Amino acid sequence: MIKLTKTSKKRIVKICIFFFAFSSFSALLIYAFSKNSVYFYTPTQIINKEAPVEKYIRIGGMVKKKSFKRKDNSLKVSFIIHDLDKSISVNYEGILPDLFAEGQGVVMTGRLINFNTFVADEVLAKHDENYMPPEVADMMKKKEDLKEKNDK
Amino acid sequence: MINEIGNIFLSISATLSLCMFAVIFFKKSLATNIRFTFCKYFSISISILITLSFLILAYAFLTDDFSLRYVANNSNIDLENVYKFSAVWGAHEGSILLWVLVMSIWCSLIILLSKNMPKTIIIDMISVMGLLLLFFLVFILFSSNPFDRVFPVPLNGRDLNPLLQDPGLIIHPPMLYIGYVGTSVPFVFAISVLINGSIKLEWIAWLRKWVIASWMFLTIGISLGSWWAYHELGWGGWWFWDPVENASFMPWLAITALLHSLIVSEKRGIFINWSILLSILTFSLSLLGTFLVRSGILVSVHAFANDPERGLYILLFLTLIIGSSLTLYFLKSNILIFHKQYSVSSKEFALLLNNLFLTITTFAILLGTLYPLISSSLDLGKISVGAPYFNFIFSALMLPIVFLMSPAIYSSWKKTNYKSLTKKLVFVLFYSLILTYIILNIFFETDVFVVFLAMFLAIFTIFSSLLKIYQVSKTNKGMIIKKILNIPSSSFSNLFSHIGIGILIIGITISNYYSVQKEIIMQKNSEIIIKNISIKFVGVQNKLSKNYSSQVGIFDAYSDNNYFVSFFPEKRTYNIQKNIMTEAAIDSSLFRDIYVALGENVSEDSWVVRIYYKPYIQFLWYGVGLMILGGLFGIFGRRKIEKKLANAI
Repeated sequence: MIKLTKTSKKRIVKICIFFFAFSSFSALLIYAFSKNSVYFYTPTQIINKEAPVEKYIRIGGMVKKKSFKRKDNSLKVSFIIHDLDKSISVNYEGILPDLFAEGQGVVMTGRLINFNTFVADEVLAKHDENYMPPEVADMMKKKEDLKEKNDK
Repeated sequence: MINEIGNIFLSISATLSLCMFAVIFFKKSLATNIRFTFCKYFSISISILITLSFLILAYAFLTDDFSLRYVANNSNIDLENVYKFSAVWGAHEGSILLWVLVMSIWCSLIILLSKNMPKTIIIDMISVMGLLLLFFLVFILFSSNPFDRVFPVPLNGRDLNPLLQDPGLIIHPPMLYIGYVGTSVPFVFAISVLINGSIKLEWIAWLRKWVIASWMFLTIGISLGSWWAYHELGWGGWWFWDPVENASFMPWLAITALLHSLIVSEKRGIFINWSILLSILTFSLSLLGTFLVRSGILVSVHAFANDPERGLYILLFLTLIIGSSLTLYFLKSNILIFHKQYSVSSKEFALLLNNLFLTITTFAILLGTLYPLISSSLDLGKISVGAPYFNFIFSALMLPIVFLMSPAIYSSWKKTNYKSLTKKLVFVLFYSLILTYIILNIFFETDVFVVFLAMFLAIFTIFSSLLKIYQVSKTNKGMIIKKILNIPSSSFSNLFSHIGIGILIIGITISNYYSVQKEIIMQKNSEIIIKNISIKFVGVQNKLSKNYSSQVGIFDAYSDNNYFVSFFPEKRTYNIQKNIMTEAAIDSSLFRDIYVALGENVSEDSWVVRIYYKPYIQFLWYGVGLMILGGLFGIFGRRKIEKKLANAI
């Protein structure tokens, strides 16, 4: 048997406490992360079945003109979003942000019920009319570049 | 012409900052007094010059000088004068100018209020400050100059972002910036101490005042931002864990940790190394915050200017500052270690845990804020980390911190008598539990565990703080009033801030869990009942203002059939930018807010309406008020003690 001095015993206890604290913190962090990180998908990805159904995700796109419908004077609304290529329909119940309009960019969180329909829990408000959500801007730019290439 | 003068002033200040930085290299060839005088005049002239150029820019705004691109983009003839003035810091260029203005003033204040400090330390602090100023001034002059011209000169400006046309936004940015920039004081102190290789406890006492001041301004700034969001965004929320909010919250957590570790360093001469490291980290987080806000690389509701080039400059600066100061720290910090014993039951240990948890919390928030960036730049998919992550991790890590407050209050330095500590704690714990149980059962009929836990912690903290005040005052002699007046201001400072935290927690918990929220379509003359209050929708009127037109809803509120107040929520359309803005109408009283916001017009007479009943939300602002009061005691109450110290030396 190795005899431990008082200081080394103390040190071992300290190290144990430190490891315990560190591992419980990491576990907490990983748990919180895995539960709450939300992936972003484009309509094209959804139509191509790259997005999971019935999972909490973010989607974005442009609101298609003349697609906005309100169900007989209630808070239930539906509209179509597109990324110049594919489009999917969105259902939402609640108040829309001030700057929501047809032809504008929009980002939402919610679930897919199938590969054509998205049920939004939250439609994100943006601050000014010139502003495009970065995710949508990025996505639209890629699509436009692709189109230009095809035209050539 | 006058604008060119503003530009020239900025260039001169940049040159002077360079000279101020250069002073650090003349340690051997120039006498300390001469270097000190140099630093003094440099920093004061820089402050004056930057103030003047700031005023010139303000003058350009007030006189509608649209030949300046910055004015043309952010102002308008019809804008109210108050907002013309606040538009100076309404966008990128001006807010960086405000940043250097505040920094130069902090810099002058350091040198003017440094009587009891050794001059060598102050000189090095000021010189490093000169380098920081130089970086920002160069940044202004070359990539974001507010005095840039535009040609042809537009007849009218593009107006200030309507969202910023709110009283809360007039003082929110300056307060926040004073706090942000204030974190540079401990930073330059740390650098100076590392360069000089020595530290004394009196210096830490001096530094602590500056840290409290900057903590206070940061607190005011952040809470004003919350208050503004609550009033202006029309969602009834006051905190969204938006990256930009996190950017201001991380330095706050770090500086709160610093505040506590400095107490230990000052009183016991330990944790000095850690305090120095924390000073560097706090300022780095402030800079990181500026980078995140100004570069526009984050997905945020705060859609400010997006300019990658500017972001790159700040990022380079950030890496340089963090990299060099950390290198310096690792090379030199071993000189500063003091060895002293303390036991697990001591105040030192409680404050160590406080620092540990605050740092971990900061790290967790940093991770959640930056992870989406990292993942999208590494092509791991576009991820967003939402409010649930932050809520979960923040409350999980805050529980132990708040719980530790009371033991920390009752324990003493070095080693506490276990028996008396546990006796006191068990007593307070027992009564707080009973009190919480009674309050929750009478007023809220609840059995939600989280609510019970949070309320218990809040009451525990408040109760033990109050009891401590009573105990401290009991040892003083004389009448009751004299007893209270003789309480040392340091305990007042600590107790007020902790009671503030308790009240804040009550406000957050109750308003979160017991808010009643209705989102409905209301027809003209219809009524809705929310928490015994019936609210009648009278109608909507049009109103024309100078720079916007609005639709004003009229709602009358009745309690037991007695009319008591009317609400006038607005939906504004701003003339120039064509933005639609929701102005909520709020009726506040001590224990509740009623919040009415107007949504879309569905058909002729029916509107979407959002009504909230938010109990105890006012406690948020009271809590913050108490925390700031605590800060004031911390700064101004300490003069007496320092005088005594100075006399003794």
